[in-house]
Amino acid sequence: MENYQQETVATPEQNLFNFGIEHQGLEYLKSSAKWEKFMAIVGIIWISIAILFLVFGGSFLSTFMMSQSMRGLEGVDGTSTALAGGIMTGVFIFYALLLAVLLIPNIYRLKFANNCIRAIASSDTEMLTKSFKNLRVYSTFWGILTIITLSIYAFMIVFLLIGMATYATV
Amino acid sequence: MQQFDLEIDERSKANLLLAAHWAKNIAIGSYVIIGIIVLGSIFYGIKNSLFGNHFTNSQLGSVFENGILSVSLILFFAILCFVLIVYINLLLKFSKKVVSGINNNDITEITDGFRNLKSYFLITGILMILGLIADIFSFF
Repeated sequence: MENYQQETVATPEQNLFNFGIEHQGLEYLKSSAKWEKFMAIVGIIWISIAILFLVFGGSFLSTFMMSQSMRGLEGVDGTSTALAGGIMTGVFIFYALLLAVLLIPNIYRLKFANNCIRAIASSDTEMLTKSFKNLRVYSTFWGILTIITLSIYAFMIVFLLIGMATYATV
Repeated sequence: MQQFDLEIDERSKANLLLAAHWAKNIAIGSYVIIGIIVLGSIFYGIKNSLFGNHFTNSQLGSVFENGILSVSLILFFAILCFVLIVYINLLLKFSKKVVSGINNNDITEITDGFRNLKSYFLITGILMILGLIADIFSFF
């Protein structure tokens, strides 16, 4: 019976489906996780400050413009100032939302880093799986963002070529 | 016998494969974006040199200064592109090594992939610190 058990329980290096990370690999992972943690924390603080600036600065600016339009200053068109204030508020909200979206990958990179450091410290395979899952989501997010950026570039180039062709024919 | 500290199970492998797949997409996309920026800059430079910057005789001295400025800018731009290409190549190498390591059950290749990932994050971190310093200085 003992012999049978010894034969069926495979060591990590014998197992074809699961295999282990050696010490050097863990060191690399730990170093990656530490840098990721630093970048995630800095990124979250950075983006949060930028959102606060946009929200408070934007609301202050639009309120100021609205008040200027209400005062009806000489030489200042009230309607256009109010309209500009409204548009500015819209732009600020758009940028704040864009920054809020950028918080998502930072949260995942922080999760990856924390789980990875914990997994290495406690030799916890389950935690390592969780950390790789977060790395996957983080990579997926940036991958999709890269595709969106490339599509925008493609549209810009097409419009530029159309514009140049139209300019040349006129 | 080699001692392993942590095991990569099937779910980890699937997650790593997907992460590597997207990392490859990011790397290729980044190469394309850099290519577009470089081509755009070359196009803009040629356009400016052919149709712009007409100097009068009194401005001949500034032509020399402008020339040095242009060469410095091109050199800076070339170094920046080189650094970016090396930086993105680390991500591509991580992707390739991890995928082939998982497919061939080769832990050495996966370790090499993790080494590239570490270097990639290290450079990203340093760039972030430089960006932060630049941001702080821009306030003053």
